[in-house]
Order: sequence, then C-alpha cells, then structure tokens
Amino acid sequence: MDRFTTELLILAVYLLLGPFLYVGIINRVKALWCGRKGYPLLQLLHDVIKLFRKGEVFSTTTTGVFIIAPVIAFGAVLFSALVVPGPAGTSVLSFEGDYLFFAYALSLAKFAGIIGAMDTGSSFEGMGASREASYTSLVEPAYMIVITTAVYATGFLSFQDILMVIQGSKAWSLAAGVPIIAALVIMLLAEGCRVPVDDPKTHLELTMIHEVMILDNSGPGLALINYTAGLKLCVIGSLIASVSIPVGISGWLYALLFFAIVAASAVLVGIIESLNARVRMSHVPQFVFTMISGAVLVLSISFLTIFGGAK
Amino acid sequence: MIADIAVVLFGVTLLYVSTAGMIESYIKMLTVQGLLLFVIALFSLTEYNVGGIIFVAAETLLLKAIIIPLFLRKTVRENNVVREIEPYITNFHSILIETLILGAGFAAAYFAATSGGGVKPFSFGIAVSSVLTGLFIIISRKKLLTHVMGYMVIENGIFLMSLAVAAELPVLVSLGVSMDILIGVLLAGIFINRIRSAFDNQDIDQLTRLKD
Repeated sequence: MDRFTTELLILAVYLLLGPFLYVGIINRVKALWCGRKGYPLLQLLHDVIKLFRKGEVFSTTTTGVFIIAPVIAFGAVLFSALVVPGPAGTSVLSFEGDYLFFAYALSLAKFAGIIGAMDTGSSFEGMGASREASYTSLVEPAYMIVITTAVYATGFLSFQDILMVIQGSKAWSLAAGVPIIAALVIMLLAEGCRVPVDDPKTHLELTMIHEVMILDNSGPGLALINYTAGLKLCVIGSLIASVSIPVGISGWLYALLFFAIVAASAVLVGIIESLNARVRMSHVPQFVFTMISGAVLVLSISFLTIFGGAK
Repeated sequence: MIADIAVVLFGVTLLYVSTAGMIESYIKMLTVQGLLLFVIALFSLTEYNVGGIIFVAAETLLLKAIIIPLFLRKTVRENNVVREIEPYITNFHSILIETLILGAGFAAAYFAATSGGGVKPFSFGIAVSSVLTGLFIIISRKKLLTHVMGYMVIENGIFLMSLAVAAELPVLVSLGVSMDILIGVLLAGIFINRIRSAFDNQDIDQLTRLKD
C-alpha cells in the first residue's frame, strides 16, 4: 500500500468511528466525574445501528423537505470534514478559499436542520430552530475574523497551508495561538450544542435547542442526525488539533499527537459539562460573543505583528 | 516568547473579569494576574541580578497573588458582603464594551510602536486595555469592594506598562506602584468598614442620600 492509500484509509476509519468515540469519551468523562461507571464508549454506535434497522414515522404535515433535511446536513458536514486537515496533516479536498467553503458547508448543515424542524409545523421545533439560528449566528463573524486574519498574516489561501504556518514557531503564531484555540473551543461548544450553550441531556422541551429540533425524527433520519452531530464535534476537534501541533512533526508522530489532541478536546468538553450548568437562555449570546472578543484579540495581535513591529 | 503568551493570557483575564458574576471570581482573577505579571516580568528582564528578581517576586507573587487576595477574602467574609457583583449594565454590554476597549488598547499600541521609542506593542496594548478595564469596572459596578478591585486592575495595568515602556524594570516606579496598591487596599478596607458601620450595606446607591 502506498502512502496516499494508507492516509486515506486512516482518515476513513477516523471519520467513521471518531464521532462515536468522541461522544463516548465526553459521556465517559462525565460519568467518571460523578462516580458512575458510564455506558460503553461505543454506545452511540449501537444506538445508530439500532435506529438504522428501524422504520421511520412521518407526520402528515411534513413534506419531502423533512425527509431530505438530515441527508443534506450529513453531506454538508462530511464535505467540511474533508476540507479540514486530517490525521496525516493534509486535507483530502484542498483548494484556494476552502476556509470559506468550510464555513458555508457548516451553515448549509444548520440551514437544513432548521428547515427540517420548521417543516414539521410544531411550535416547539420552530422555537428550537429560532434559538439555534440566533445563537450560532454569532459564531460566524468570529470565525471569519479569525480565519481571514490568519489568511492575511500567512498569505496562503487554503486550510492546509494556513494551519501549517500557524503551527510555525514564530512569536506571532504562539501569541495569536492562545486566543485562536480559545475561540475554537467556544465554537466547538456552540456549534456542537454542548453545555454552556445547550444541554444534550435536558428533558424539558422549553429549555432545549438542538434536541427540540429533532423531536419528530425517527429511525434512519434520527440516526443520521446523531452521527452528524458527533461528526461536527470531531471536525472542529480536528481543527483545534491542526492549529496546535507544532511545525516540523510529521508521519506517525503527527497522527498520534493529532488523535491525542482530539481526544483531549473531548475530555475538555466533558470536564466543562461536569463543572458547569448551562447558562440562562438570555446569557447564551453573551457566552458566544466571547468568541468575537477572542477574535478581536487575534486580529489586534496580528495587526501589531505585521504593521506595528512586534516580533 | 513565553512573555508574549503570558501577556495574551493577561488580556484573556481582562475579558473574564468583565463578565464574571461573583466576587470570588474577581479575587481568583487578581491572583492569576499577579502570577502572570511575575512570569512577564521574569522573562522581560534584560539583566538578571538577585535583588531585582527577589523584589519582583515579592511584589507580584507575594503581594499581588497571596496577600491581597487573602485580605480581600477576609473583608468579604467579615463584612458579609453580597457575593454577587451587581453591575449597572448587563453582562452582554460589558463584554461588548470590553471588546472595544481591547481594540482601542491595541490601536494605541500601534501608534506608540510605529512612532518609535522602543515600546513593546503587545504589553503596551494590554496595559492600556487593563487601565481602561479598571476604569470601566469602577464606573459600572455598584459595590465599593468591586471599585477597589477595579483600582487594582488599573495598578496591574500600570505595572505592565512599566515593563512595556522600559526594557529593564525601573525599581523606583515599581516600588511606588506596590506601595500605592498596599495603601489603596488598606485605606479602602478601613473605608469599607466605616461605611459598614454607618450604613447597613456597602452599596454606593446609598451614598446619594449624603447631603452637606
């Protein structure tokens, strides 16, 4: 097997099993923190397989939009996963401007989720959709500030090259790396619907965001949505890993570090969920806005480095 | 390089201070700021002499990170201060303003750095933001104790600025700053105690009743 095939195989296994393990690690950390044993690491995989074997029930008010929405969301997130550098340090799809493609692929997934929820005609799901749209809309400007700053500072136009330069050991990368990683962690929590923003374990429809949008989904549709949610966490975890691994490391060591950092981000999410209650609905925009503050910090640092003579 | 990371982390503590909801978080953040200032000072020194390092350690580690937080905790405990921060404006507006302050601080650093004079831009930008953040905390929070903490954020900013402007630590400036902090906190403590004996709580809303 040549190098390319090996890399592709590792990436395929990562994208197939990673999301289940990611959610499994989060739940295991939460369980251990409470002194419980916790369910198996691959419980989500068993759930998804079980759901795929079942039939699907559709409400009479739904149309084809409801059926196709989970598939569109899954496809969009899968493509965004192909753009982000994987365990080998290279992306499968790499072209100029793919960082914009990444942002809009994630937005398309969100849009599909929202129209799917609106299509059911349920007021609960409309409420969840409106919350999802208003809270995560604050993530996008912050992401844009961070990434376009990195594009300007590095002079490259695709994820793979930008992230390689961020990993470099220049003073700029180290100083800017702190707020970049902080911003990405907030993006992980907001986009992945994890605790300070949304509680995946909540049982009350009025306090749900992501969970209330999928109340009407069942069978394969629900399985696909669950897998997509895990995949989204995994993709942003990969982004964090790619940003934080120093330049000069390659091959198996890179892959090892990559998996270690993705797993560490899952542990971090678990710890955050164990230590914090979700914030009040009215305080969620404030939490997500912190990401914009981090982005402004990145912008200012880069501006000073490029024009202000800081080395 | 390590100093740069510490400076950026100092900026992150400013963001945290502007949104934190409990007095305990403020005290913790002041401790963290003291530790970060020690790291920054240690890595910014151009020449190492034992006296200078001992002095910096005493000022940042001992005073800023241990004695003052202990004193503040004691004040909170003995005066039964309400544990929440009680701001005048919502946290969302706080973080909005804090973001603008960070931007403004870095803009100031840009002009300072491009006009020459050997200013360190990162430290200078965060120092200016820190001073402005302290002022912002003082004008936007109700309790007297949080005013004292805002004052201490300003002091930390001035300490950072003394590191940013001159390459080596000007001992006299630091001495003045650290004395300022100690006297300020002690005075404020006495002041808070007197207010407490005069009014039932230390809310400065009560001060509007004062007439001459």
